[in-house]
Amino acid sequence: MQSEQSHSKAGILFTSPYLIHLVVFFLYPVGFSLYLVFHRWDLMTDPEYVGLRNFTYLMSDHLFWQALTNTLYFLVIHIPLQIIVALALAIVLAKPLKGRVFFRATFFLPVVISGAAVTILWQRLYSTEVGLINYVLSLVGIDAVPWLTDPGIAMPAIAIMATWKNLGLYVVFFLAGILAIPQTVYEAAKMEGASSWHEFRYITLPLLKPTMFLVVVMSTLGGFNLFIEPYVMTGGGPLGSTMSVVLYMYKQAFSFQHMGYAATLGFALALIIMVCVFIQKKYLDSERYY
Amino acid sequence: MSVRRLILYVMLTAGAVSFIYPFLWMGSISLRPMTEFQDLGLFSKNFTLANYQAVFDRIPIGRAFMNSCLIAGTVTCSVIFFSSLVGYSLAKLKFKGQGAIMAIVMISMMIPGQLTLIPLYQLIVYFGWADSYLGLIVPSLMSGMGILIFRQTFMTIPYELMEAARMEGAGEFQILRKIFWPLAKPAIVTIGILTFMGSWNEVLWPMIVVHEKAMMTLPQMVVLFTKGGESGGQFGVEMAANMMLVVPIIISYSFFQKYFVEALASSGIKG
Amino acid sequence: MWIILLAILLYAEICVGATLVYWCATNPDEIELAKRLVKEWNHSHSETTIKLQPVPAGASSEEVLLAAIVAKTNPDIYSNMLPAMLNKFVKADTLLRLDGLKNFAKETEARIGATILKDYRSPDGHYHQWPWKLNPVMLVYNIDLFQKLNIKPPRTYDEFWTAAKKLTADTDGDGRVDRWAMSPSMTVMWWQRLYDFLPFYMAATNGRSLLNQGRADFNNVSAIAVMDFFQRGFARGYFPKSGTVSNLFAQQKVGMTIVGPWALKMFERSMAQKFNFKTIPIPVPDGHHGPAYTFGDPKSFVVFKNTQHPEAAWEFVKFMTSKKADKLLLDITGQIPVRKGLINDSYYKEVFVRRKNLIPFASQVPFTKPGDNSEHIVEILDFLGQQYEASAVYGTIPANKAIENAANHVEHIYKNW
Repeated sequence: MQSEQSHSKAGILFTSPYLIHLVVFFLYPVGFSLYLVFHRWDLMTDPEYVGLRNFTYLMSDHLFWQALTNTLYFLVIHIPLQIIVALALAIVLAKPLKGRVFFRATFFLPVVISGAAVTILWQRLYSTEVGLINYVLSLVGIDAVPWLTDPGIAMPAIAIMATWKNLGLYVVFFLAGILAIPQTVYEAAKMEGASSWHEFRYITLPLLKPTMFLVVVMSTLGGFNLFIEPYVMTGGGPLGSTMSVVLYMYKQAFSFQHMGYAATLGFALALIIMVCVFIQKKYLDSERYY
Repeated sequence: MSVRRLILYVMLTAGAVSFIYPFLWMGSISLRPMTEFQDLGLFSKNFTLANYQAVFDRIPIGRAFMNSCLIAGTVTCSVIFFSSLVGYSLAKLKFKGQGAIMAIVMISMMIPGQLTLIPLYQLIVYFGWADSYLGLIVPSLMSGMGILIFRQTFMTIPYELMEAARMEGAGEFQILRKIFWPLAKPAIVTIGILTFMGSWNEVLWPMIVVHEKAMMTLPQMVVLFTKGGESGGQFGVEMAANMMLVVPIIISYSFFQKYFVEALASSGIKG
Repeated sequence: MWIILLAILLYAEICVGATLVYWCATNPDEIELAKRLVKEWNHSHSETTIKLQPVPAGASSEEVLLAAIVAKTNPDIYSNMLPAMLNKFVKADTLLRLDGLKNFAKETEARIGATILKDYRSPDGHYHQWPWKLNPVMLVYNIDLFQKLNIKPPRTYDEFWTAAKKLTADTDGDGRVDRWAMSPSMTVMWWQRLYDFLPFYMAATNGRSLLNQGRADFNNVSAIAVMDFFQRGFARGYFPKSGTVSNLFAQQKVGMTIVGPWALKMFERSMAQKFNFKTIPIPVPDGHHGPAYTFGDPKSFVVFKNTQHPEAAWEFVKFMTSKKADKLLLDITGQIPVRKGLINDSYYKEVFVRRKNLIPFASQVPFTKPGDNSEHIVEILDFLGQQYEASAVYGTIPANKAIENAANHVEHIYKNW
């Protein structure tokens, strides 16, 4: 009895700072964003009730839909690229190679560096005339690529950079996944005369499904959070091809002072993210691992 | 060494170079005069600190560095302290509403941050915390992820240790401090690294709440410096500013590489 | 103990008197000017101290100012107000009405004159800004290059294309063009259109603005001609389509540039090889009659309503725009004060003698407009910028379609917000 009471006391004491913080900096903002969705507000004058106008504007706002399409385009390039390269590196690094720790540490380096710094650096690497990347390409006879000034290439360019930035992390994920597969499974397969491709296709790949799910979800969240990359590199251009939803929201809020509409964008984005993750969970995170 | 193995090494080395060379090159460019900005090699006879001088002359980057340290440091300490309190309550105590708190932690982690961005800004303005440390620090004092990691770790610590301490009359906080914290060092390091890095690298939130130069964080200042007019489009100066953003992290990474990798790898488990 | 402390504080308060915070623009020349004038003021006005601070950094000073007003960290006085943005601040009731202040009418008559002042009136009929400077955006060309290539300075689009054709060339024979006619900006930042599309539009229309009573007033042949002008320049390769276009004029890589007087000093400073340049009005469509108007990139002083010392602030604004201060403005920054009869005033003559290249800008002033004043101007120019990018830079939509889209969007904005 004594202990039960002291538990309650300690529990309340220990959790109350968190709960108070949660109410003020999470629950209230969520509630207020719901309020803002139905209001027009320029920050300086009082909010004005506008009913569903923010929603109808959203539906017909082709800039928003373009930003969303851009994000999907980013994901379509980024996720497969990320998985293929990270998986390949992980398979190589899972072998008892000399210098494996060094390689892992090297590939991991950009993960710890701030996205802002990486973006500022890559903007220069991507320079059409004097960039390192085009120089290397010129060595193998490829003409200068207008990485950030061609509407069709700019988003893939950002996706490549994001892959470079996060690769190390996903290599570590896959590596952990591969090393967790018991050797006996492979031995059994060898006994039955499976080729290494068959081993990969029918043992490694299926057993890596949970890792795959993790990588897909994290890349998706990263893609929907794109902000500093287009902000620094392209400002959303050329022709709006790298405008991300968060950058568009920032612009609506702080360049145009449409706070109600920006909140609506945030609301829509949150909804889309949750739906995406739910779908991915449904298709990738099935329980049939073994 | 077989041919296959050789090819593998060549490819791995090429990959490694593509990850290191850009940083080396950035360092080199930041040390060279403006006229050499087109040079893609690493060495020059004309190394100079002029670009760094220019950065220090034009922006209070030392101040920004201190700001970032202060903010990330405070946030990290707070997250470790409060998350361990909540994690302990959820893992080892039994009280009413425990289940509800656990649920709310999960929900708060599932809702994407974009939803609360605009209202949070309004709240900071309402509190009069724009352009202040409070505005940068207070919203991120708590972390659902920290709570979950601590809860997970604390669950593995046996009750017997607690009972023994209780017998000796120790209160719950003392138990947490004397027994759980020392045993949860890996979790503390993990949460510490994740929180510090997250706070240190954040740009969007500072850009929204801070406009006063003296209050800016390091990445924010470097972004605005290179993007706005102040760098004068001078490439070496921009890279010098960027180096100051990168070097502290590279140094800490090279010392604590193992911890960084472990911490970030465990960040994936949270979802 | 604390009574003593309180007494000291009170005493300090009395001694120090009023302190006003003043934000100026961030470019080095203007900071120098402000520093000098503020120092002089603080020296001679012990009752009111001015604290000078350049606008805190940010993507644009307008964004920073808005954020500061919302967070109530705004200054008392601000000198970089774009009249185009004024309405937003007036609507939110953040600016002090100046026409109620002491000697407003007398001061205006002495400095500005009633006709010009009208361009700066708020929609409610009152005045919330004190016009400070008006810098005509004009065409500057490289005389040496023009003479060498035997080119006539262009007055019309036709003449412009003749010049452009001769200027655009591969000078080092490596098979790539390395000299162009002009290098208009490719970026979509909203304010960029103030320095390309808008001056050309005003030149083509005798100074018409983009909006009229909350409606788009640019869905017309002139606007289409201007859009088409930029489209042709990019499409024919007369304007470089590359990311790095800073300072091409000073490097003699382009023969012409569109700038205001503030840029001349920078040109002189960053020229690798010295050359002569000259300033002429913005080219007009063929068959255009009358003078070539232009946009004036105006900046005004404003005083914020939440200031504790409105009268002192007004005194400071008058001090900053006095006859003497205007001379320093002209001399230090090369910018043109809004002052009637400036060019004929013997007081300013010595500056114009020393800095002859300011004369064309000062002479253009009567044909210079401050532009629109709308709370939606940023969004309108932003959208126009996107259409400009699509039509002029990338040529993906015809000029008339771009103008139509932009005009429709203006209606859309006014309808929804």
